[in-house]
Amino acid sequence: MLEISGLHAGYGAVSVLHGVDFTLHQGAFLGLLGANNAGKSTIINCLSGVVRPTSGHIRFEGRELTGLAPHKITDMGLIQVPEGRLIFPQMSVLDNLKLGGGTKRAIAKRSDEMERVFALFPRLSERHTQMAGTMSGGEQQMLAIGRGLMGQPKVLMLDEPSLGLSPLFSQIIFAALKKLHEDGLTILCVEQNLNLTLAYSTSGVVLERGVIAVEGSGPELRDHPITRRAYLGL
Amino acid sequence: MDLFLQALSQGILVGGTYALIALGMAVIFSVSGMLNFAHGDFLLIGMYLAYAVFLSLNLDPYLSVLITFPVMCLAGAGLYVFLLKRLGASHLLMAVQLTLGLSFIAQNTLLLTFGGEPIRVPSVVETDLLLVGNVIIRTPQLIAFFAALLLSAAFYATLNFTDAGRRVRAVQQQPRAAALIGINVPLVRTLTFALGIGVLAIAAVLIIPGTSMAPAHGLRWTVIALITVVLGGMTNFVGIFIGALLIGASESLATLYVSGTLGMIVPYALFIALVLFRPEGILKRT
Ligand SMILES: Nc1ncnc2c1ncn2[C@@H]1O[C@H](COP(=O)(O)OP(=O)(O)O)[C@@H](O)[C@H]1O
Ligand SMILES: [Mg+2]
Repeated sequence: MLEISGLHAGYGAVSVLHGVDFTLHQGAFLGLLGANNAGKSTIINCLSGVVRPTSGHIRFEGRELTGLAPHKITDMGLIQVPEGRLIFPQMSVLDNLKLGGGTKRAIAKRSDEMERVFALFPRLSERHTQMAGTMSGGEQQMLAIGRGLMGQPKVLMLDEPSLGLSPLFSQIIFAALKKLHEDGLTILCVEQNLNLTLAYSTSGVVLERGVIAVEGSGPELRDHPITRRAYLGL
Repeated sequence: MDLFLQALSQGILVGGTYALIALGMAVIFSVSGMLNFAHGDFLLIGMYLAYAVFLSLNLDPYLSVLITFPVMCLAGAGLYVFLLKRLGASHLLMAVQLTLGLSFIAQNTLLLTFGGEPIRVPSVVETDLLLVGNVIIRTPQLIAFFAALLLSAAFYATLNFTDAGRRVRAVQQQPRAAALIGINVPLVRTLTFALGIGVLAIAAVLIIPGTSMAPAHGLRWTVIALITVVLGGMTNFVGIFIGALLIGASESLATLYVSGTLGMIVPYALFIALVLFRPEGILKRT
């Protein structure tokens, strides 16, 4: 469904990705793992069109994505929930969600989708008039995911959804992702938290020094020496 | 007492137009983080455009706005697309310099085209007066005030209660996330610039009846817009409207009680005091 091949990218003179290849299949829940600064966000931002790759290809349902503007990519159904959540702080929960469902592809289903988001995260329903910026980190993560879902994603990409959250909230978030996956959503989840991700995802790839060092199922990856090296620098 | 009421009402009515000009500046600031120091010069361009339309088609300013509004919208869009967008968000200081440069270009172009003499454009209601008690109200000022009030209210409602307005606020609060949820951020910015400059065409024809214009007036209008925006708390439209009325009223009262030229300084003194003691604007809750 989403094929990444030979992806190179960087910032100015610094190159970060040195030929990344992997494929996200329809219905997968893929963990994109790697240590801090490995280049995970750079990959996901290339996919969203926020960072321009220097070379390589990204194909989504057969269409080349490189060079497309971010809003075009989102409107195709490839939707990112960004690192640090980036909710709209001086807007209500409701307005945040409405904005997420404001694209051409999503607007007709906006109120139905809102019900589904509220069913997934009842906390958002309770707090729907609250200013988003005054919510806790975990609640903001729920909102960021809800806002992404409002856009009717075919693929939902999350960048470190557990970052800065308590273990309890991390579990709630991942349980919600698992439920979405079981309902048929394809998920790409960038994470540093190895064990949490492997417990919920169907497979994973490990990024090390700008290339995919190893890929496989959860148990394969957990004890793989390359995974350990990528994380611990062993 | 009559004199006081006279000055107060006149100041408040003028303040309505100040609000409109300031809203244009605020809306541009809110989506781009940039203060347009050529704002007053764009207002003057709007006024001279109305003058040119009057010269060539003999149209009343109130009608010529149908022509000058789209022209000014295009100018605003062009300003963003061809100049400011290229600078990017990281060069705010350069953007400020650029708008200052534009201000000089605009002023000198007007000077070359229309000369430096103050000009008046006649209008149907120019000399109409209204008597409320013992207070004389000039009809064009009344029209200007209510038009400005209506437009500001429409601005406010659009921004807060429509999808288009939510998009503008999203771009203002978190542009990166706005792009990721499918908002065409450059387009929103372009349209906001178009509207922020376009509204000056409307403000221009509201000011024209009974007011003279000269190319050198631009800076004064820029300063009025700037202090109104800062008083209002930069992006708080209600605050900006109230701030504009305050400035209009204080200017008018000070001119009456302190003396002509010295009185013009009072709003600026008030502004400096507010910036020192309430830099977050008059309405901001803390
Ligand atoms: N906007 C940027 N400008 C310059 N360098 C950046 C930028 N974003 C990330 N980097 C650098 O690129 C490298 C990879 O970053 P990133 O993709 O954010 O890693 P990760 O998400 O895996 O932590 C890091 O060395 C980081 O410092
Ligand atoms: Mg990251």
